[in-house]
Amino acid sequence: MKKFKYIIVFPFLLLVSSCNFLLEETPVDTLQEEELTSEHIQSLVRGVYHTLADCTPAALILNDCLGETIENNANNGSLVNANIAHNNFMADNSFVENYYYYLYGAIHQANYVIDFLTNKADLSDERNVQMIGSLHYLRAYCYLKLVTQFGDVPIVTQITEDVVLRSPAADVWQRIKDDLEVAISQCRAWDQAPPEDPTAARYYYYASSEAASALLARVYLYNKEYNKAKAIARTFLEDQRFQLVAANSLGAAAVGVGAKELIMCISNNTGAYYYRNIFNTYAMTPSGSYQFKPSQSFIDSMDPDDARYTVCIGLSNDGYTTVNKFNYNSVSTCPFTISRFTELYLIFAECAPDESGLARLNELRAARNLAPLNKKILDNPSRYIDAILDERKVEFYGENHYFYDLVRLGKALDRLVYTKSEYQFLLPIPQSQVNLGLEQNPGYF
Amino acid sequence: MKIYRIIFLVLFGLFVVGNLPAQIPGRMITGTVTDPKGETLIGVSVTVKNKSSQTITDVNGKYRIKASAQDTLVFSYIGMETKEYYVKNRKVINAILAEKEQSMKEVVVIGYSTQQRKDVTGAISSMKIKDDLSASYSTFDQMLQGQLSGVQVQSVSGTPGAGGAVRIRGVGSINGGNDPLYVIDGIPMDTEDGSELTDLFGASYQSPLSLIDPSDIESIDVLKDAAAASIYGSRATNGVILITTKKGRTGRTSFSLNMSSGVSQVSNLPEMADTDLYLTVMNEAYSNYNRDNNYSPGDPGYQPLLEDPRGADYPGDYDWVRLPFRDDTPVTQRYSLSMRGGSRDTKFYTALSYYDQEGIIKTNRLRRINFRSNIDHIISSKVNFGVTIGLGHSINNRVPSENGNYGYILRSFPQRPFDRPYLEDGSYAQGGVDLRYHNVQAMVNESTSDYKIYSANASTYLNWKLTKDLIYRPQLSLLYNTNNDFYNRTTDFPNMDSYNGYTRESRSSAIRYVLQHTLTYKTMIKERLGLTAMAGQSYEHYNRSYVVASGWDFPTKEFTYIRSAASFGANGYAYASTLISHFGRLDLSWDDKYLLSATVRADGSSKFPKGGMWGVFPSASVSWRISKEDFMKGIDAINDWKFRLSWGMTGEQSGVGYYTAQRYMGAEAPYYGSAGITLESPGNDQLSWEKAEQINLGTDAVLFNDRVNVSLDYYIKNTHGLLFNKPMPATYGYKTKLVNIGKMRNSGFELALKTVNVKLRDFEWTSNLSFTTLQNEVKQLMEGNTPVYVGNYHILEIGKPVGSFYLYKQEGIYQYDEEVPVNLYESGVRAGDVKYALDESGNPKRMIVGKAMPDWYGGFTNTFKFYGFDLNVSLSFQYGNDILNIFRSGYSDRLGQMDANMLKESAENRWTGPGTSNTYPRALFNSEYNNMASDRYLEDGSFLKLKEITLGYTLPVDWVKHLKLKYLRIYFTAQNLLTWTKYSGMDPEVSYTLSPREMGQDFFGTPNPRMFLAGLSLNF
Repeated sequence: MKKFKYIIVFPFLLLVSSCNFLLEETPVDTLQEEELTSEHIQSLVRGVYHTLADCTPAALILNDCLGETIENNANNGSLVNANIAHNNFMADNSFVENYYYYLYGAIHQANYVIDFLTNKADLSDERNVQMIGSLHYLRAYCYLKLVTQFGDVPIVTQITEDVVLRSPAADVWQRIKDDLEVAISQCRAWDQAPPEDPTAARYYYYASSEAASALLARVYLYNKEYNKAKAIARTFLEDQRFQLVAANSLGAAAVGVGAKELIMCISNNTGAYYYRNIFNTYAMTPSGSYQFKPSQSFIDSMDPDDARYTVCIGLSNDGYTTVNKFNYNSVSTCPFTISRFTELYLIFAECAPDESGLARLNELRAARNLAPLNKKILDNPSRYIDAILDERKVEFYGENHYFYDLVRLGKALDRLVYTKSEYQFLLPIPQSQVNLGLEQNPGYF
Repeated sequence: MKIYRIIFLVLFGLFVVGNLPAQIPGRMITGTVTDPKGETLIGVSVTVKNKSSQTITDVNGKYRIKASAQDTLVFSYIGMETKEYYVKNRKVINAILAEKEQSMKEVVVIGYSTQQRKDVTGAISSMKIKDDLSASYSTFDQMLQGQLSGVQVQSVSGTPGAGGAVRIRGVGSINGGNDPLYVIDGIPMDTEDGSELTDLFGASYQSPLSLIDPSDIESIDVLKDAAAASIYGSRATNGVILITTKKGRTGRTSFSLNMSSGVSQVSNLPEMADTDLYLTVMNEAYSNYNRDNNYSPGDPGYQPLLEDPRGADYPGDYDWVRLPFRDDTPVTQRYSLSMRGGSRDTKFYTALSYYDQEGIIKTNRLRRINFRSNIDHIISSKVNFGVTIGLGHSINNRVPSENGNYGYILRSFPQRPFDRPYLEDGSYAQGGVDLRYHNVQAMVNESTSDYKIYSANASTYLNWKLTKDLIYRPQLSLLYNTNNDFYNRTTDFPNMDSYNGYTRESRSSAIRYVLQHTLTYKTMIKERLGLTAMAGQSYEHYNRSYVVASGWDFPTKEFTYIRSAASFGANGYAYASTLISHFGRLDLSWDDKYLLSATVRADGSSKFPKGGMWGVFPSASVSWRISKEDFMKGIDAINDWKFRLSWGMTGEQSGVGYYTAQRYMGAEAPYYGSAGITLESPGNDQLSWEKAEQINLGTDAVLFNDRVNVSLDYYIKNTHGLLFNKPMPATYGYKTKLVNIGKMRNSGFELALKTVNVKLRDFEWTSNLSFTTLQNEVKQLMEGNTPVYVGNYHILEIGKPVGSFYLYKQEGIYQYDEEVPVNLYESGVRAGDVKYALDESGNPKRMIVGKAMPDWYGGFTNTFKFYGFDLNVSLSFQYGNDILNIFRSGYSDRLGQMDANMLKESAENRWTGPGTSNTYPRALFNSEYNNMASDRYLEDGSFLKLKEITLGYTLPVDWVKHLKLKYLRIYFTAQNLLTWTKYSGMDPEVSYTLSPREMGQDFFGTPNPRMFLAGLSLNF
């Protein structure tokens, strides 16, 4: 019996001496950073694409709503949707905060992977260099969204926990151009298999040198560097790989087989955003909750002969006008487009307010079943700009362009009802960031 | 030896003989002695007053004694009140002995041990659960409300089974759950709702603790100060609730049956505007908007006025406020049957119970079955062991609560008064088309929730007396919880997520192993120095895994299982954590007068980074029983008087996720059909324990023969290294980072006063008052101590309590355009708009305007007993907290900004011209300005509630005997009968979240129902 008692002491000692290893719990189904090898590189890069794809649908039509071509369904009680449609934001608006965090979340992941690839990957492997280019493209896209929507914003290219204050918009623009230059020189060609996923069915779901060029053309246009923008646009227009497609192949259809117009889009098979959710009515298949719809002013402004009319505006089986563009068959996971070939026509036309430009504009109009514009319009630069704006409004309907086009061309206060003051050209910096020491945009409190 | 016995017998015999003459007129009296519940008492001493004859009751509680008609029989028994009966001309006298209040001898459960109340040096509140009480509550936390000082019970939702939140001594942690640690019969319990569908139901989560049947509980002990709680180390900052279940008893097996049933009712529904008022306000809002913007009909921005939608055959306004609630009366039923008994060596308690409550919200219902069996067995004089098995099963038909898109109340109340849930053709009106919000009628009809929890807890212990003084006690426990949750929305459900029908199912299981053993040495040195030393260890491993699958796009509404869906989705994961602890306690007492206790616990947790896994939590306490001093001896009024002083450290880790501290890559990031990897968790290798230091000064007194029992405590609890989800700059890539920041202080007084006000033979009146003050203060924050903004309505600021409301301050309403400052006028503010307090640059300014924590709270219970009747009246109260009424700010008080219906009161009292209102602004379309989060929506949340009133009647023993029963009581109970409060919402106790960062926000969660129950309990 005495001896037996010592057995009790034993487990005590055992636990004391050996418990630290028992305490080690590592999460299953994860990797430690140091375990990452070259076989993880593609997945890491796709992870950045995923972060960018993880967007709220309203953010993808923000410029259409602010541009008053899409409005909230007032019958739907959502306050945030009304705020978006009426350009009526407070600094603590949850939509604005989420959008801002989303963009920086993607920038963060891009920075992380750029850093990883630069320091750890075999750079003699061309694919790795190409993917570094892709990541620069994605980062540039995020900064472009930030600078156009928020103005001055913090620039981060490294992982940091510190508060980074807002940089002047000019610096952000420069960052975007630098990133795009890297992307242009390093990315694979548009018609080559993407290194991120060589088996991908469609190559335009991944960044390419051409995607970067197209975006750079847009950046030059936005910065009124017309010659540079025009030069890029011209290269595209002469590139036989791209073609204008029939209007009824726009929107959701643009991702279909044989699309030669789509330069770059972001896939949504993560279920993150659903256009159908915000545009379709209950009675439609697939159904939605009809949060947004075409505004009456947009419907009224459209030429019924325009081949895009039925592309943009649909009529649901229960009798409501809907945004039809992304409701093609049951492609419930319609991607969002970043660049389409058409944009280069419009960039060229805007950069060349002469007959060459007008010719491109009319070429596009012809493809959309519209009569050419008389060249007299060139005599009045303002009318010419208006014509281009009208074209952009329709061509990029639902593709997140219009409001910023109005702002950069100085037409917002003229054309819009709810944007009454210049401060509304920018969104408020989220209150959470102001709390951390960032300066608020004027007009917001 | 023998000779002494003979001498004794002889002397005794002589003595008896000497008294013989008095015995002559005597006769034989017989009877049975029982407790008030009819349980027979063995070994009760029965004597004839002033005479020598005596006997004791046998194993059946029976006795025989000779006495004459003038005699008085005296029945006495340890732990029971002594009782006297006149013999008169009776031959049978059945005595009933009630338990004696001996508070100082009461056994108190402390961590890993028990003590008598007199030996306790820490702050511990205890509650013996009387059957009368437990019969009327569905969960044990409801029983605690208002009963114990320093213990605050709040509810998240009035749906059955919804987790009530117990807060002990305020809020100890900003980020963590502030729940105490629950320990049942020595086993730490899980409180996590394991379902992966919980996000669909808002606050309607169900804690596994709701599977405990209150009638199985013998006592609840609450460890409040650090000296008492720190034996539980890293989980003790928020206090520890020790639950002891009923055990077997030696004696004949007795059966107890409890049945009750009743109805629930919703109260305090708000009054919404009718169609006339609605149209008036809306059109005023549009007109004001058009006028402000100089729009006339035809202008692009012009807002047309509404036409009256009511036709000639308009059937009247629809009662949207009633819609979420059951049309029929919700019924509650409860049955429990228990069996208790045992021999000298083996004792058992076994109980089976069924509970069924229909919620006040349509389709909401909770059913629960419990089984418990506790067995204790003595193997030898040295070894005994026991087994506890608790099985529980619940079926919960949940309903979405408050803030979700589908919260029934929030989606129904703001509907326009002239809309109806059905269209003329009988189909559902649709939210966003015909209605302004989702059609609650369709949600009710077209969704099914079926949440099943199965829980099995088993525990076994061994008590082994190694020597006279040394006891070794190992205990092995296993807690197993598995969930099976099903939720379907048919194809006709108002479909926000654009699915044609949607089903989600979750299966999860959680297992916790607890291995612990203790070695206790207890001795008395020279009959003056009592020494108890205990050392122990425990190993806890928890792991949980789940699979959740969903299917959508069903052919028609008849098909609801995932196999019939055209599209699928699934997810699954697993977590684990380990806690290893070493602990010890030393108790010393000198002369029963000076007591000293010290504990220490070292906890190692897998949740912290390597190198920081271990935390040490010591405590010490002393107490002085002044009543034992010689100079107090003569004072009869004081039965016992004790002072206590304690200091201790505790920790908290519940706010730390399983792997938050670690940096790792995850692969939940597919893109275009291929897998992706992201940096899922950036980690924090500096993450550490949240530690609290607490000082407690207390005194307990027992006065006037146990008629008055008073305890007073003052405590200061300082938490440092607070775990906090620090808001991060967006450039960091993640919204928040869990860090240890700052310090917080909780302090307060606690008073517990129990009195026996009247004690007559047939009338007794007792009172129980608990009163707690609470002061919370943030003492330190991050570098620079800059305030931390939390959510949209709260702030953490030095010197202010956690949960402070940080809102715009309304100073009134601008009565004339001229009063509006220029900058605001330019941004569109006009007469009738809100006048906020402004900052230096002339913009509305936010400031601290209130707090969510009460200044004081408590309860007052009075119990009356007269003849067989008993009446129990319980009040609970709270004072000094504010509630932010989100229903008003988000919906009902927006006055035309959007076309939600309004509260009648706000709509009627809106500003319509100079002097009409200084509170409610004018109606205005599209105005965020008037509806900014301001103190207009902040209301006084103080209340006094008549929580329970019970009237019972116990039938006389002689009557029920004919029914072959030992005991029979019938009773009626009303709960939440009346509430006195200024708060305009439905229930001041319901808060959307109990998170200390966001508490005090009311999203119109399901209020606690009024309940009326009738029941009977009987023993046989």
